[in-house]
Amino acid sequence: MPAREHSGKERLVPNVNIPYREMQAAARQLQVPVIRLRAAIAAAAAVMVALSCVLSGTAMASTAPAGVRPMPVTAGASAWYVASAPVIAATPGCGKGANVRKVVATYKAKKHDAGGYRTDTLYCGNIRYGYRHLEPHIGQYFGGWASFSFAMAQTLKAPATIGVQPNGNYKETAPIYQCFYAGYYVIWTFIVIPEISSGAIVTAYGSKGKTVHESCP
Amino acid sequence: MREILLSTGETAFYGPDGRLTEVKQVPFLEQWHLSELDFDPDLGRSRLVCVLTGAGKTVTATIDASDFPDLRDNTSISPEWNGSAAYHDLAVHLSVLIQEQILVRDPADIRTDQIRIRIPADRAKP
Repeated sequence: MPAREHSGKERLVPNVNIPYREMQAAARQLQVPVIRLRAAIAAAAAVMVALSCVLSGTAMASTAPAGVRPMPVTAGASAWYVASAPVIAATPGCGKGANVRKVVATYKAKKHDAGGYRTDTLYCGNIRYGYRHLEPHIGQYFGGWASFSFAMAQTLKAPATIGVQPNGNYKETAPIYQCFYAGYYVIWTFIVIPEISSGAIVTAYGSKGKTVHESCP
Repeated sequence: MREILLSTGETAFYGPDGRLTEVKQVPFLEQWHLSELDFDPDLGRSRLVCVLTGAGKTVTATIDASDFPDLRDNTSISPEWNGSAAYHDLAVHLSVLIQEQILVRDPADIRTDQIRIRIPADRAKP
């Protein structure tokens, strides 16, 4: 089941040796604001298929009470999260001078009309496609590039819908839950638009939906 | 451009377990409707006006040729990002921008009646 492939917590925090549950518990004791990202492949009440954890960059490890294992809560999201394989680069590296065909990441994408998966590629691109095109949308989403890349990976791997568009692109969507320990969550619809023939990602963006004043499902 | 906006495409819906649950035709405009697509009566071919309505909301999208200087006379197809066989780069690019800037949004959440479709200024260049 695709959901299980993304629920391995250790994979989401590969650079630290702290089990996920312990990290969650420590974060609660620290009262660190924690955003959990859950990706589902159906509507709001659907089964969660993925979980990521991004700790606020404002918290300090030194605030940990005695007995709580220190952890690098000041680390940026990219240090905490390595997107699911076969992503090539954890950071885009599409600065000035980077080739338009430089590969930023590859994603396992569910095939539209057959079983199995294809590989979609995010290139640095230009203002028309790829990372340079979608870059402004990263700031409109939450959690920075790591969270954005994770949402792309989830959407392509376990989409809720795949639409064939006459302009030569797929439109793939999936709901993403942004969960808060305060006891509510926000439902985003994440959209990825890859070119049908090549799998090159043209654009991607999140659309913020309703806030549900209940604990994350 | 009009053909793309008024088209429908086959969309597959998947359940929580990843299984296909339904396949149906979905309009490119989804919850929006195209009321008008024409050149500006005053500015002629230098401005395209696209009026979209949805949930009682009317949004006028303007597309200025001057915002797309490298595409306005370009009838080519760039295979690295334009996978359509039938439409040239400008039509495909504009359809993506309209999707990003209008169609993805709930009509009730759009607080302006006028949207200028263009590449955001902060988009990086190679």
